[in-house]
Amino acid sequence: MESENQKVISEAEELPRTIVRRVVKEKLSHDGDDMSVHKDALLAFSESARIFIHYLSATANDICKESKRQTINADDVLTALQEIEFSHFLGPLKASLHEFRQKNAGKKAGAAKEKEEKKKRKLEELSHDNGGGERVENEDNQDGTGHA
Amino acid sequence: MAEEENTSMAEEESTEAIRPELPIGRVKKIMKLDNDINKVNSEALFLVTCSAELFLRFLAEKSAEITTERKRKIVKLEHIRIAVKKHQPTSDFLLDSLPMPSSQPSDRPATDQKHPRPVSEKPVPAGTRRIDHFFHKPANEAPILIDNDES
Repeated sequence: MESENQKVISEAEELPRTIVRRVVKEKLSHDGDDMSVHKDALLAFSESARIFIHYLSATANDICKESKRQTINADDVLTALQEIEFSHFLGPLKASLHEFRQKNAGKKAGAAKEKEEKKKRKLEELSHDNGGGERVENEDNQDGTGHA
Repeated sequence: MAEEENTSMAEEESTEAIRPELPIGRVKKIMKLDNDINKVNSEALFLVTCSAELFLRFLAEKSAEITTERKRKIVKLEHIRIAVKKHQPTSDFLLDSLPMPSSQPSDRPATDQKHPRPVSEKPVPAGTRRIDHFFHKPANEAPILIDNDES
């Protein structure tokens, strides 16, 4: 009974096995071309990534709460990474974030062009958001402090 | 071959942007399991997803190094464990939660999914037999030798 229950929960909260396998395998092909991964090891990789997500977001959450804000933002995550001594991720992450912001801005503009009906509403939202400061997209815009 | 992407990512101080393969929605779900966490904006969620993927790559790379060191071709749990032990920031949060390598690697062939962590179900000690074992063909034991020895 217990194990069945566990299964239901874990499948929803686990990272998809196929993607984990692909990401891991990509890394292996550098070191030796015919290396494979044991099933238990693959499971452990997936588990480890999940635990990392919890660890990182809990740290980011603490930082967010310390500065008395409601919503975890990009800076909280970046600071958290330094705190947990994973600052070697910061380079690629900042580049990714930059790309993400650009892509989001582009996506919004594109969608607005395509859908005439939603155009005006979207543009209004866009200009409103952009006026708010740094945040390009923020569904939970609670603290309008424009913290950078 | 996406080699040009990968080679640049292999550098330790890379500033190459990554596009995460991990699904953002699933990462969000995992984050939200923590009841202390209130709200997460889309940028933070994106960064956590990227970080998780970078971590996965990092761990895979370090574990593969151990596998290579030991001249093995299959990355096993014990290799991950050694890799985790070697990197202190990782062992800080992961070592205790990492599943222990089992002494009998193939004791859970098909039930893998039901037991994400091999804690509850201990394999029966070698030598003990269940009554129904007598009615099955013992797969993991040496077959009973019958007279005609061909080898």
